[in-house]
Amino acid sequence: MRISLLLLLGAAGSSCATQSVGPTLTLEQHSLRIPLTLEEDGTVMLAERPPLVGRIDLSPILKAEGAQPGAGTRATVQLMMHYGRLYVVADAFRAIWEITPQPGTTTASYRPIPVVRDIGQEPMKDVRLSRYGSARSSCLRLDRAGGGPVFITSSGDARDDCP
Amino acid sequence: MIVRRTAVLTGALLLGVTCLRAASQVEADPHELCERAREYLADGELRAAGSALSRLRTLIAKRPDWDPEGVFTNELLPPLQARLNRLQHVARKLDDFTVEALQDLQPPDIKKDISTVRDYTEWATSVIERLRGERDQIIGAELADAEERAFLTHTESYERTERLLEVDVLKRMADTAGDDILGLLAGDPELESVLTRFRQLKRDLMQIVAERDQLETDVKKSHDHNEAVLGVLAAVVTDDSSLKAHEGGRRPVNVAELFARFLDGEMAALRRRSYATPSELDVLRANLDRYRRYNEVLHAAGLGQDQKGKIEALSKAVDGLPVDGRGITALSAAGPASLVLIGALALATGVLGWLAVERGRRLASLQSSAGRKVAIGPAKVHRTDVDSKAV
Repeated sequence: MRISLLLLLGAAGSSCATQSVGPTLTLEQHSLRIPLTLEEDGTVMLAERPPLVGRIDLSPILKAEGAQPGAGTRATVQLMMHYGRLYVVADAFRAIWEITPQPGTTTASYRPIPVVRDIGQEPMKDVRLSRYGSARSSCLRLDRAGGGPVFITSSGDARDDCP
Repeated sequence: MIVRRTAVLTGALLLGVTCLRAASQVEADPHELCERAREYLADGELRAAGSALSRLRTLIAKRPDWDPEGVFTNELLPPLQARLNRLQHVARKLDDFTVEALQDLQPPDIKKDISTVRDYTEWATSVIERLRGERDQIIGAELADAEERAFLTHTESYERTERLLEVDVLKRMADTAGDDILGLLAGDPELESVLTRFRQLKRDLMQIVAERDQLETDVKKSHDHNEAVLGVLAAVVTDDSSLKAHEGGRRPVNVAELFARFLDGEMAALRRRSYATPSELDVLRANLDRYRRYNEVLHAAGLGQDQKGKIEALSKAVDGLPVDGRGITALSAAGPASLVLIGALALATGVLGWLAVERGRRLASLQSSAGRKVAIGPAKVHRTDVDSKAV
Protein backbone atom coordinates (compact mmCIF):
# COMPACT_ATOMS: atom_id res chain seq x y z
CA MET A 1 0.00 0.00 0.00
CA ARG A 2 2.76 2.41 1.01
CA ILE A 3 4.81 1.47 -2.04
CA SER A 4 1.91 2.13 -4.37
CA LEU A 5 1.36 5.57 -2.78
CA LEU A 6 5.03 6.38 -3.23
CA LEU A 7 4.86 5.28 -6.87
CA LEU A 8 1.79 7.48 -7.42
CA LEU A 9 3.50 10.50 -5.85
CA GLY A 10 6.59 9.84 -7.94
CA ALA A 11 4.57 9.67 -11.12
CA ALA A 12 2.72 12.89 -10.26
CA GLY A 13 5.99 14.61 -9.48
CA SER A 14 7.58 13.54 -12.72
CA SER A 15 4.58 14.76 -14.75
CA CYS A 16 4.69 18.15 -13.03
CA ALA A 17 8.41 18.37 -13.68
CA THR A 18 7.85 17.58 -17.35
CA GLN A 19 5.30 20.39 -17.67
CA SER A 20 7.43 23.00 -15.97
CA VAL A 21 10.55 22.38 -18.03
CA GLY A 22 8.75 21.93 -21.36
CA PRO A 23 10.06 23.91 -24.30
CA THR A 24 8.53 27.30 -25.03
CA LEU A 25 8.19 29.45 -28.10
CA THR A 26 7.13 32.98 -28.79
CA LEU A 27 3.38 33.46 -28.90
CA GLU A 28 1.81 36.87 -29.25
CA GLN A 29 -1.92 36.56 -29.22
CA HIS A 30 -3.82 39.74 -30.01
CA SER A 31 -6.76 40.77 -32.10
CA LEU A 32 -8.31 43.86 -33.53
CA ARG A 33 -11.47 44.96 -31.77
CA ILE A 34 -14.42 42.70 -32.47
CA PRO A 35 -17.93 44.16 -32.27
CA LEU A 36 -20.37 41.40 -31.33
CA THR A 37 -24.13 41.34 -31.07
CA LEU A 38 -25.56 40.47 -27.70
CA GLU A 39 -28.14 37.70 -27.83
CA GLU A 40 -31.26 37.83 -25.70
CA ASP A 41 -29.81 35.35 -23.21
CA GLY A 42 -26.68 37.46 -22.71
CA THR A 43 -24.34 35.42 -24.89
CA VAL A 44 -22.27 36.52 -27.86
CA MET A 45 -21.44 34.24 -30.77
CA LEU A 46 -17.81 34.44 -31.88
CA ALA A 47 -18.78 32.92 -35.24
CA GLU A 48 -20.30 36.30 -36.04
CA ARG A 49 -16.72 37.33 -36.90
CA PRO A 50 -15.03 34.42 -38.69
CA PRO A 51 -12.61 32.74 -38.39
CA LEU A 52 -13.40 32.79 -34.67
CA VAL A 53 -16.07 30.35 -33.51
CA GLY A 54 -17.62 29.54 -30.14
CA ARG A 55 -19.63 31.58 -27.69
CA ILE A 56 -19.18 33.55 -24.49
CA ASP A 57 -21.87 33.78 -21.85
CA LEU A 58 -21.68 37.39 -20.70
CA SER A 59 -24.79 37.25 -18.50
CA PRO A 60 -22.82 37.28 -15.19
CA ILE A 61 -21.01 40.39 -16.37
CA LEU A 62 -24.22 42.05 -17.54
CA LYS A 63 -25.83 41.25 -14.21
CA ALA A 64 -22.90 42.73 -12.33
CA GLU A 65 -23.18 45.87 -14.46
CA GLY A 66 -26.88 46.08 -13.68
CA ALA A 67 -27.88 45.75 -17.31
CA GLN A 68 -30.08 43.15 -18.96
CA PRO A 69 -30.28 42.56 -22.71
CA GLY A 70 -33.84 43.02 -23.92
CA ALA A 71 -35.88 40.94 -26.27
CA GLY A 72 -36.03 42.18 -29.81
CA THR A 73 -33.29 44.76 -29.45
CA ARG A 74 -29.75 44.52 -30.76
CA ALA A 75 -27.12 45.64 -28.31
CA THR A 76 -23.45 45.21 -29.07
CA VAL A 77 -20.34 44.72 -27.01
CA GLN A 78 -16.71 45.09 -28.01
CA LEU A 79 -14.26 42.28 -27.51
CA MET A 80 -10.51 42.32 -27.91
CA MET A 81 -7.79 39.76 -27.31
CA HIS A 82 -4.67 41.10 -25.64
CA TYR A 83 -1.77 38.86 -24.63
CA GLY A 84 -4.07 35.84 -24.69
CA ARG A 85 -6.77 37.34 -22.47
CA LEU A 86 -10.10 38.64 -23.68
CA TYR A 87 -11.37 42.06 -22.71
CA VAL A 88 -15.02 43.05 -22.99
CA VAL A 89 -16.66 46.44 -22.74
CA ALA A 90 -19.90 48.08 -23.82
CA ASP A 91 -21.64 51.36 -23.45
CA ALA A 92 -23.31 51.77 -20.04
CA PHE A 93 -20.61 49.63 -18.39
CA ARG A 94 -18.64 50.99 -15.46
CA ALA A 95 -15.72 48.59 -15.87
CA ILE A 96 -13.77 46.80 -18.53
CA TRP A 97 -13.96 43.05 -17.93
CA GLU A 98 -10.99 40.73 -18.25
CA ILE A 99 -11.75 37.14 -19.24
CA THR A 100 -8.98 34.62 -18.85
CA PRO A 101 -9.63 31.37 -20.74
CA GLN A 102 -8.84 28.10 -19.03
CA PRO A 103 -7.21 25.99 -21.77
CA GLY A 104 -8.78 22.63 -22.35
CA THR A 105 -12.10 23.62 -20.78
CA THR A 106 -15.23 25.50 -21.75
CA THR A 107 -14.89 27.92 -18.85
CA ALA A 108 -12.99 31.10 -18.12
CA SER A 109 -12.34 33.22 -15.07
CA TYR A 110 -13.28 36.88 -15.18
CA ARG A 111 -12.77 40.04 -13.20
CA PRO A 112 -13.74 43.71 -13.53
CA ILE A 113 -11.18 46.46 -13.99
CA PRO A 114 -13.12 49.48 -12.70
CA VAL A 115 -13.02 52.58 -14.86
CA VAL A 116 -15.92 54.64 -13.50
CA ARG A 117 -15.39 54.34 -9.78
CA ASP A 118 -17.61 57.15 -8.48
CA ILE A 119 -21.19 55.95 -7.93
CA GLY A 120 -22.60 59.36 -8.85
CA GLN A 121 -20.70 59.43 -12.13
CA GLU A 122 -22.39 58.43 -15.38
CA PRO A 123 -21.37 55.07 -16.87
CA MET A 124 -19.13 54.89 -19.92
CA LYS A 125 -20.34 56.05 -23.32
CA ASP A 126 -18.96 55.74 -26.86
CA VAL A 127 -16.43 53.16 -25.70
CA ARG A 128 -13.74 51.89 -28.04
CA LEU A 129 -10.95 49.36 -27.62
CA SER A 130 -7.63 49.66 -29.46
CA ARG A 131 -4.07 48.43 -29.09
CA TYR A 132 -1.44 50.98 -28.22
CA GLY A 133 2.24 51.20 -27.32
CA SER A 134 5.40 49.69 -28.67
CA ALA A 135 6.11 46.24 -30.05
CA ARG A 136 8.11 45.51 -26.90
CA SER A 137 5.28 46.40 -24.54
CA SER A 138 1.87 47.15 -25.91
CA CYS A 139 -1.30 48.00 -24.00
CA LEU A 140 -4.98 47.65 -24.52
CA ARG A 141 -6.37 51.16 -24.85
CA LEU A 142 -9.91 52.06 -23.82
CA ASP A 143 -11.27 55.35 -25.14
CA ARG A 144 -14.61 56.78 -24.07
CA ALA A 145 -16.54 60.02 -24.38
CA GLY A 146 -15.86 62.60 -21.70
CA GLY A 147 -12.95 60.78 -20.09
CA GLY A 148 -9.28 60.14 -20.60
CA PRO A 149 -8.01 56.89 -22.10
CA VAL A 150 -7.31 53.91 -19.85
CA PHE A 151 -4.45 51.55 -20.62
CA ILE A 152 -4.40 47.89 -19.62
CA THR A 153 -0.89 46.48 -19.45
CA SER A 154 0.21 42.98 -20.45
CA SER A 155 -0.19 41.89 -16.84
CA GLY A 156 -3.76 43.23 -16.67
CA ASP A 157 -3.10 46.38 -14.65
CA ALA A 158 -5.06 49.56 -15.44
CA ARG A 159 -3.03 52.77 -15.85
CA ASP A 160 -3.37 56.30 -17.18
CA ASP A 161 -0.48 55.76 -19.58
CA CYS A 162 1.12 52.87 -21.42
CA PRO A 163 4.55 52.15 -19.94
CA MET B 1 -31.85 54.87 -6.61
CA ILE B 2 -30.51 51.42 -7.46
CA VAL B 3 -33.63 50.66 -9.46
CA ARG B 4 -33.26 53.93 -11.32
CA ARG B 5 -29.61 53.33 -12.09
CA THR B 6 -30.39 49.88 -13.42
CA ALA B 7 -33.08 51.30 -15.64
CA VAL B 8 -30.71 53.94 -17.00
CA LEU B 9 -27.99 51.35 -17.61
CA THR B 10 -30.39 48.98 -19.27
CA GLY B 11 -31.80 51.69 -21.48
CA ALA B 12 -28.40 52.80 -22.61
CA LEU B 13 -27.24 49.26 -23.29
CA LEU B 14 -30.36 48.37 -25.21
CA LEU B 15 -29.86 51.25 -27.55
CA GLY B 16 -26.81 49.43 -28.80
CA VAL B 17 -24.75 52.54 -29.08
CA THR B 18 -21.47 50.69 -29.06
CA CYS B 19 -21.29 50.55 -32.82
CA LEU B 20 -18.26 52.00 -34.51
CA ARG B 21 -20.05 55.00 -35.97
CA ALA B 22 -21.27 55.99 -32.53
CA ALA B 23 -17.70 56.08 -31.31
CA SER B 24 -17.08 59.15 -33.42
CA GLN B 25 -16.82 61.38 -30.35
CA VAL B 26 -13.42 59.93 -29.59
CA GLU B 27 -10.43 60.39 -31.86
CA ALA B 28 -10.38 58.09 -34.90
CA ASP B 29 -7.98 55.17 -34.50
CA PRO B 30 -6.31 53.05 -37.22
CA HIS B 31 -8.98 50.36 -37.03
CA GLU B 32 -11.75 52.88 -37.57
CA LEU B 33 -9.96 54.49 -40.52
CA CYS B 34 -9.35 51.04 -42.00
CA GLU B 35 -13.04 50.17 -41.69
CA ARG B 36 -14.05 53.46 -43.27
CA ALA B 37 -11.68 52.90 -46.19
CA ARG B 38 -13.14 49.42 -46.71
CA GLU B 39 -16.69 50.75 -46.70
CA TYR B 40 -15.84 53.55 -49.13
CA LEU B 41 -14.17 51.07 -51.48
CA ALA B 42 -17.20 48.81 -51.40
CA ASP B 43 -19.41 51.79 -52.25
CA GLY B 44 -17.15 52.80 -55.13
CA GLU B 45 -16.25 56.08 -53.44
CA LEU B 46 -12.62 55.97 -54.42
CA ARG B 47 -11.75 59.55 -53.48
CA ALA B 48 -13.11 59.11 -49.94
CA ALA B 49 -11.33 55.75 -49.61
CA GLY B 50 -8.07 57.39 -50.66
CA SER B 51 -8.60 60.13 -48.10
CA ALA B 52 -9.26 57.61 -45.29
CA LEU B 53 -6.15 55.62 -46.18
CA SER B 54 -4.08 58.78 -46.33
CA ARG B 55 -5.29 59.74 -42.84
CA LEU B 56 -4.46 56.25 -41.63
CA ARG B 57 -0.93 56.47 -43.03
CA THR B 58 -0.38 59.91 -41.49
CA LEU B 59 -1.71 58.79 -38.09
CA ILE B 60 0.56 55.76 -37.97
CA ALA B 61 3.57 57.75 -39.16
CA LYS B 62 3.10 60.53 -36.63
CA ARG B 63 2.05 58.34 -33.72
CA PRO B 64 3.48 54.85 -34.13
CA ASP B 65 2.07 53.93 -30.70
CA TRP B 66 -1.26 53.36 -32.45
CA ASP B 67 0.31 50.46 -34.35
CA PRO B 68 2.40 48.53 -31.80
CA GLU B 69 3.37 45.54 -33.93
CA GLY B 70 3.05 47.29 -37.28
CA VAL B 71 -0.08 45.29 -38.09
CA PHE B 72 -1.69 48.18 -39.91
CA THR B 73 1.49 49.35 -41.61
CA ASN B 74 2.63 45.96 -42.81
CA GLU B 75 -0.47 43.82 -43.10
CA LEU B 76 -3.72 45.73 -43.31
CA LEU B 77 -2.85 48.96 -45.12
CA PRO B 78 -0.91 47.56 -48.12
CA PRO B 79 -3.69 45.32 -49.50
CA LEU B 80 -6.26 48.09 -49.09
CA GLN B 81 -3.98 50.58 -50.83
CA ALA B 82 -3.29 48.06 -53.59
CA ARG B 83 -7.00 47.49 -54.08
CA LEU B 84 -7.61 51.22 -54.24
CA ASN B 85 -4.80 51.63 -56.77
CA ARG B 86 -6.24 48.87 -58.97
CA LEU B 87 -9.72 50.37 -58.85
CA GLN B 88 -8.43 53.88 -59.57
CA HIS B 89 -6.38 52.56 -62.49
CA VAL B 90 -9.38 50.82 -64.04
CA ALA B 91 -11.62 53.82 -63.35
CA ARG B 92 -9.18 56.03 -65.26
CA LYS B 93 -9.18 53.55 -68.12
CA LEU B 94 -12.97 53.56 -68.17
CA ASP B 95 -12.99 57.36 -68.30
CA ASP B 96 -10.60 57.31 -71.27
CA PHE B 97 -12.73 54.65 -72.90
CA THR B 98 -15.88 56.77 -72.51
CA VAL B 99 -14.26 59.87 -73.97
CA GLU B 100 -12.77 57.98 -76.92
CA ALA B 101 -15.96 56.09 -77.60
CA LEU B 102 -17.96 59.33 -77.74
CA GLN B 103 -15.41 60.89 -80.05
CA ASP B 104 -15.46 57.90 -82.38
CA LEU B 105 -19.22 57.61 -82.38
CA GLN B 106 -20.02 58.41 -85.99
CA PRO B 107 -23.23 56.96 -87.41
CA PRO B 108 -22.82 55.71 -90.98
CA ASP B 109 -23.40 57.97 -93.95
CA ILE B 110 -26.71 56.89 -95.39
CA LYS B 111 -27.40 59.61 -97.87
CA LYS B 112 -27.21 57.18 -100.71
CA ASP B 113 -29.80 54.78 -99.37
CA ILE B 114 -32.96 55.68 -97.49
CA SER B 115 -33.69 52.13 -96.53
CA THR B 116 -30.99 52.37 -93.88
CA VAL B 117 -33.38 53.29 -91.10
CA ARG B 118 -33.09 49.65 -90.23
CA ASP B 119 -29.35 50.02 -90.62
CA TYR B 120 -29.39 52.73 -87.99
CA THR B 121 -30.99 50.40 -85.51
CA GLU B 122 -28.54 47.68 -86.38
CA TRP B 123 -25.68 50.12 -86.17
CA ALA B 124 -26.78 51.33 -82.74
CA THR B 125 -27.24 47.77 -81.50
CA SER B 126 -23.90 46.61 -82.80
CA VAL B 127 -22.10 49.69 -81.47
CA ILE B 128 -23.60 49.25 -78.03
CA GLU B 129 -22.67 45.56 -78.01
CA ARG B 130 -19.15 46.31 -79.19
CA LEU B 131 -18.63 49.07 -76.63
CA ARG B 132 -20.05 46.94 -73.86
CA GLY B 133 -17.68 44.14 -74.83
CA GLU B 134 -14.71 46.50 -74.90
CA ARG B 135 -15.60 47.91 -71.52
CA ASP B 136 -16.04 44.48 -69.95
CA GLN B 137 -12.76 43.42 -71.49
CA ILE B 138 -10.96 46.35 -69.87
CA ILE B 139 -12.43 45.46 -66.49
CA GLY B 140 -11.82 41.73 -66.86
CA ALA B 141 -8.21 42.26 -67.90
CA GLU B 142 -7.42 44.61 -65.02
CA LEU B 143 -9.47 43.16 -62.16
CA ALA B 144 -9.23 39.45 -61.46
CA ASP B 145 -11.16 39.63 -58.20
CA ALA B 146 -14.95 39.39 -58.59
CA GLU B 147 -15.45 41.47 -55.45
CA GLU B 148 -13.36 44.29 -56.90
CA ARG B 149 -15.29 44.10 -60.15
CA ALA B 150 -18.47 44.49 -58.11
CA PHE B 151 -16.97 47.48 -56.26
CA LEU B 152 -16.07 49.08 -59.58
CA THR B 153 -19.67 49.02 -60.73
CA HIS B 154 -20.43 51.54 -57.96
CA THR B 155 -17.87 54.08 -59.19
CA GLU B 156 -18.69 57.24 -61.11
CA SER B 157 -16.49 56.09 -63.98
CA TYR B 158 -18.50 52.91 -64.44
CA GLU B 159 -21.76 54.89 -64.28
CA ARG B 160 -20.46 57.13 -67.05
CA THR B 161 -19.89 54.08 -69.26
CA GLU B 162 -23.42 52.90 -68.51
CA ARG B 163 -24.74 56.26 -69.56
CA LEU B 164 -22.71 56.03 -72.72
CA LEU B 165 -24.22 52.65 -73.59
CA GLU B 166 -27.77 53.39 -72.57
CA VAL B 167 -28.22 57.01 -73.55
CA ASP B 168 -25.40 58.65 -75.41
CA VAL B 169 -25.21 56.22 -78.34
CA LEU B 170 -28.94 56.44 -78.93
CA LYS B 171 -28.88 60.19 -78.58
CA ARG B 172 -26.10 60.53 -81.11
CA MET B 173 -27.98 58.26 -83.48
CA ALA B 174 -31.17 60.25 -83.01
CA ASP B 175 -29.39 63.52 -83.78
CA THR B 176 -27.51 62.27 -86.79
CA ALA B 177 -30.14 59.99 -88.22
CA GLY B 178 -32.79 62.62 -87.90
CA ASP B 179 -30.72 65.30 -89.60
CA ASP B 180 -29.42 63.08 -92.37
CA ILE B 181 -32.72 61.53 -93.21
CA LEU B 182 -34.60 64.78 -93.03
CA GLY B 183 -32.01 66.36 -95.30
CA LEU B 184 -32.22 63.46 -97.70
CA LEU B 185 -35.96 63.46 -97.89
CA ALA B 186 -36.50 67.18 -98.10
CA GLY B 187 -37.89 68.30 -101.43
CA ASP B 188 -39.20 64.94 -102.61
CA PRO B 189 -43.05 65.12 -102.61
CA GLU B 190 -43.39 61.36 -102.99
CA LEU B 191 -41.65 60.81 -99.76
CA GLU B 192 -43.50 63.52 -97.82
CA SER B 193 -45.29 60.96 -95.63
CA VAL B 194 -42.02 59.22 -94.85
CA LEU B 195 -40.48 62.59 -93.98
CA THR B 196 -43.35 63.37 -91.61
CA ARG B 197 -43.00 60.01 -90.03
CA PHE B 198 -39.27 60.48 -89.48
CA ARG B 199 -39.82 63.91 -87.95
CA GLN B 200 -42.28 62.34 -85.59
CA LEU B 201 -39.85 59.53 -84.79
CA LYS B 202 -37.07 61.95 -84.05
CA ARG B 203 -39.27 64.01 -81.73
CA ASP B 204 -40.47 60.85 -80.00
CA LEU B 205 -36.96 59.59 -79.51
CA MET B 206 -35.72 62.86 -78.08
CA GLN B 207 -38.77 63.10 -75.90
CA ILE B 208 -38.29 59.56 -74.63
CA VAL B 209 -34.69 60.28 -73.69
CA ALA B 210 -35.70 63.48 -71.90
CA GLU B 211 -38.58 61.75 -70.14
CA ARG B 212 -36.33 58.95 -69.07
CA ASP B 213 -33.87 61.40 -67.51
CA GLN B 214 -36.71 63.22 -65.78
CA LEU B 215 -38.20 59.95 -64.55
CA GLU B 216 -34.88 58.88 -63.09
CA THR B 217 -34.66 62.16 -61.20
CA ASP B 218 -38.26 61.88 -60.05
CA VAL B 219 -37.81 58.29 -58.92
CA LYS B 220 -34.77 59.24 -56.87
CA LYS B 221 -36.61 62.19 -55.31
CA SER B 222 -39.62 60.02 -54.60
CA HIS B 223 -37.43 57.33 -53.08
CA ASP B 224 -35.69 59.83 -50.80
CA HIS B 225 -39.04 61.29 -49.82
CA ASN B 226 -40.49 57.84 -49.10
CA GLU B 227 -37.51 56.97 -46.93
CA ALA B 228 -37.93 60.20 -44.99
CA VAL B 229 -41.65 59.60 -44.52
CA LEU B 230 -41.11 55.99 -43.48
CA GLY B 231 -38.44 57.13 -41.05
CA VAL B 232 -40.81 59.60 -39.45
CA LEU B 233 -43.58 57.01 -39.42
CA ALA B 234 -41.30 54.50 -37.75
CA ALA B 235 -40.34 57.09 -35.17
CA VAL B 236 -44.00 57.78 -34.45
CA VAL B 237 -45.11 54.16 -34.09
CA THR B 238 -42.13 53.22 -31.95
CA ASP B 239 -42.11 56.29 -29.74
CA ASP B 240 -38.89 57.50 -31.40
CA SER B 241 -36.82 54.44 -30.43
CA SER B 242 -36.48 53.27 -34.02
CA LEU B 243 -34.53 56.32 -35.10
CA LYS B 244 -31.69 55.51 -32.74
CA ALA B 245 -31.73 51.85 -33.74
CA HIS B 246 -31.68 52.79 -37.40
CA GLU B 247 -29.15 55.59 -37.08
CA GLY B 248 -26.27 55.26 -39.50
CA GLY B 249 -27.96 52.37 -41.27
CA ARG B 250 -27.85 52.30 -45.05
CA ARG B 251 -30.69 49.85 -45.49
CA PRO B 252 -34.16 51.17 -46.25
CA VAL B 253 -36.43 51.83 -43.28
CA ASN B 254 -38.64 48.83 -42.54
CA VAL B 255 -41.50 50.26 -40.48
CA ALA B 256 -43.16 46.87 -39.99
CA GLU B 257 -40.01 45.30 -38.62
CA LEU B 258 -39.31 48.26 -36.34
CA PHE B 259 -42.88 48.28 -35.06
CA ALA B 260 -42.79 44.52 -34.35
CA ARG B 261 -39.45 44.92 -32.58
CA PHE B 262 -40.83 47.84 -30.61
CA LEU B 263 -43.78 45.70 -29.45
CA ASP B 264 -41.35 42.96 -28.41
CA GLY B 265 -39.44 45.54 -26.43
CA GLU B 266 -42.63 46.74 -24.76
CA MET B 267 -43.50 43.16 -23.85
CA ALA B 268 -40.05 42.61 -22.37
CA ALA B 269 -40.40 45.83 -20.37
CA LEU B 270 -43.81 44.71 -19.08
CA ARG B 271 -42.44 41.33 -18.05
CA ARG B 272 -39.79 43.05 -16.01
CA ARG B 273 -42.43 44.99 -14.08
CA SER B 274 -43.74 43.52 -10.86
CA TYR B 275 -46.65 45.91 -10.32
CA ALA B 276 -48.32 49.06 -11.62
CA THR B 277 -50.14 51.91 -9.97
CA PRO B 278 -53.67 52.71 -11.21
CA SER B 279 -52.41 55.78 -13.06
CA GLU B 280 -49.66 53.73 -14.69
CA LEU B 281 -52.24 51.16 -15.73
CA ASP B 282 -54.28 53.93 -17.35
CA VAL B 283 -51.23 55.04 -19.32
CA LEU B 284 -50.44 51.47 -20.36
CA ARG B 285 -54.01 50.90 -21.55
CA ALA B 286 -53.96 54.18 -23.44
CA ASN B 287 -50.73 53.04 -25.07
CA LEU B 288 -52.39 49.78 -26.07
CA ASP B 289 -55.19 51.68 -27.78
CA ARG B 290 -52.59 53.74 -29.58
CA TYR B 291 -50.69 50.61 -30.73
CA ARG B 292 -53.97 49.12 -32.00
CA ARG B 293 -54.60 52.22 -34.07
CA TYR B 294 -51.05 52.21 -35.43
CA ASN B 295 -51.39 48.53 -36.32
CA GLU B 296 -54.65 49.10 -38.16
CA VAL B 297 -53.21 51.99 -40.14
CA LEU B 298 -49.95 50.18 -40.98
CA HIS B 299 -51.76 46.99 -41.93
CA ALA B 300 -54.33 48.82 -44.05
CA ALA B 301 -51.55 50.69 -45.84
CA GLY B 302 -49.78 47.41 -46.62
CA LEU B 303 -46.73 48.48 -44.61
CA GLY B 304 -46.53 45.33 -42.56
CA GLN B 305 -48.15 42.22 -41.18
CA ASP B 306 -50.97 42.39 -38.68
CA GLN B 307 -49.46 42.64 -35.21
CA LYS B 308 -52.78 42.01 -33.48
CA GLY B 309 -51.42 38.93 -31.73
CA LYS B 310 -48.56 40.80 -30.15
CA ILE B 311 -50.79 43.66 -29.06
CA GLU B 312 -53.30 41.25 -27.51
CA ALA B 313 -50.45 39.52 -25.67
CA LEU B 314 -49.41 42.95 -24.42
CA SER B 315 -52.97 43.62 -23.34
CA LYS B 316 -53.07 40.37 -21.37
CA ALA B 317 -49.75 41.21 -19.75
CA VAL B 318 -51.10 44.64 -18.73
CA ASP B 319 -54.27 43.07 -17.31
CA GLY B 320 -52.15 40.58 -15.38
CA LEU B 321 -50.08 43.23 -13.63
CA PRO B 322 -50.74 43.48 -9.88
CA VAL B 323 -52.17 46.89 -9.01
CA ASP B 324 -50.63 49.46 -6.70
CA GLY B 325 -47.74 47.75 -4.95
CA ARG B 326 -45.76 50.93 -4.96
CA GLY B 327 -46.33 51.93 -1.33
CA ILE B 328 -45.03 48.67 0.08
CA THR B 329 -42.28 48.31 -2.44
CA ALA B 330 -41.17 51.88 -2.02
CA LEU B 331 -41.15 51.43 1.74
CA SER B 332 -39.11 48.28 1.56
CA ALA B 333 -36.82 49.75 -1.07
CA ALA B 334 -36.27 52.84 1.06
CA GLY B 335 -34.50 50.74 3.69
CA PRO B 336 -34.35 50.69 7.50
CA ALA B 337 -33.44 54.38 7.79
CA SER B 338 -36.83 55.39 6.47
CA LEU B 339 -38.59 52.91 8.73
CA VAL B 340 -36.84 54.40 11.77
CA LEU B 341 -37.75 57.90 10.59
CA ILE B 342 -41.39 56.96 10.11
CA GLY B 343 -41.44 55.32 13.57
CA ALA B 344 -39.91 58.40 15.14
CA LEU B 345 -42.47 60.60 13.43
CA ALA B 346 -45.32 58.39 14.66
CA LEU B 347 -43.93 58.47 18.21
CA ALA B 348 -43.49 62.24 18.08
CA THR B 349 -47.07 62.61 16.84
CA GLY B 350 -48.33 60.45 19.74
CA VAL B 351 -46.34 62.38 22.35
CA LEU B 352 -47.47 65.73 20.95
CA GLY B 353 -51.06 64.52 20.92
CA TRP B 354 -50.83 63.37 24.50
CA LEU B 355 -49.28 66.71 25.50
CA ALA B 356 -52.06 68.57 23.74
CA VAL B 357 -54.73 66.53 25.49
CA GLU B 358 -53.04 67.01 28.85
CA ARG B 359 -52.73 70.74 28.31
CA GLY B 360 -56.39 70.85 27.31
CA ARG B 361 -57.35 69.13 30.50
CA ARG B 362 -55.34 71.55 32.60
CA LEU B 363 -56.85 74.54 30.84
CA ALA B 364 -60.30 73.10 31.33
CA SER B 365 -59.73 72.59 35.03
CA LEU B 366 -58.32 76.13 35.39
CA GLN B 367 -61.25 77.55 33.49
CA SER B 368 -63.77 75.65 35.61
CA SER B 369 -62.21 76.85 38.89
CA ALA B 370 -62.07 80.49 37.68
CA GLY B 371 -65.67 80.20 36.50
CA ARG B 372 -66.80 79.10 39.92
CA LYS B 373 -65.17 82.17 41.63
CA VAL B 374 -66.75 84.53 39.12
CA ALA B 375 -70.11 82.84 39.57
CA ILE B 376 -70.03 83.28 43.39
CA GLY B 377 -69.79 87.13 43.20
CA PRO B 378 -72.92 87.80 41.21
CA ALA B 379 -74.78 85.21 43.18
CA LYS B 380 -74.07 87.11 46.32
CA VAL B 381 -74.97 90.39 44.70
CA HIS B 382 -78.03 88.86 43.27
CA ARG B 383 -79.04 87.48 46.58
CA THR B 384 -78.45 90.92 48.17
CA ASP B 385 -80.56 92.58 45.53
CA VAL B 386 -83.30 90.16 46.12
CA ASP B 387 -83.04 90.71 49.82
CA SER B 388 -83.05 94.50 49.45
CA LYS B 389 -86.06 94.33 47.22
CA ALA B 390 -87.64 92.08 49.66
CA VAL B 391 -86.96 94.62 52.40
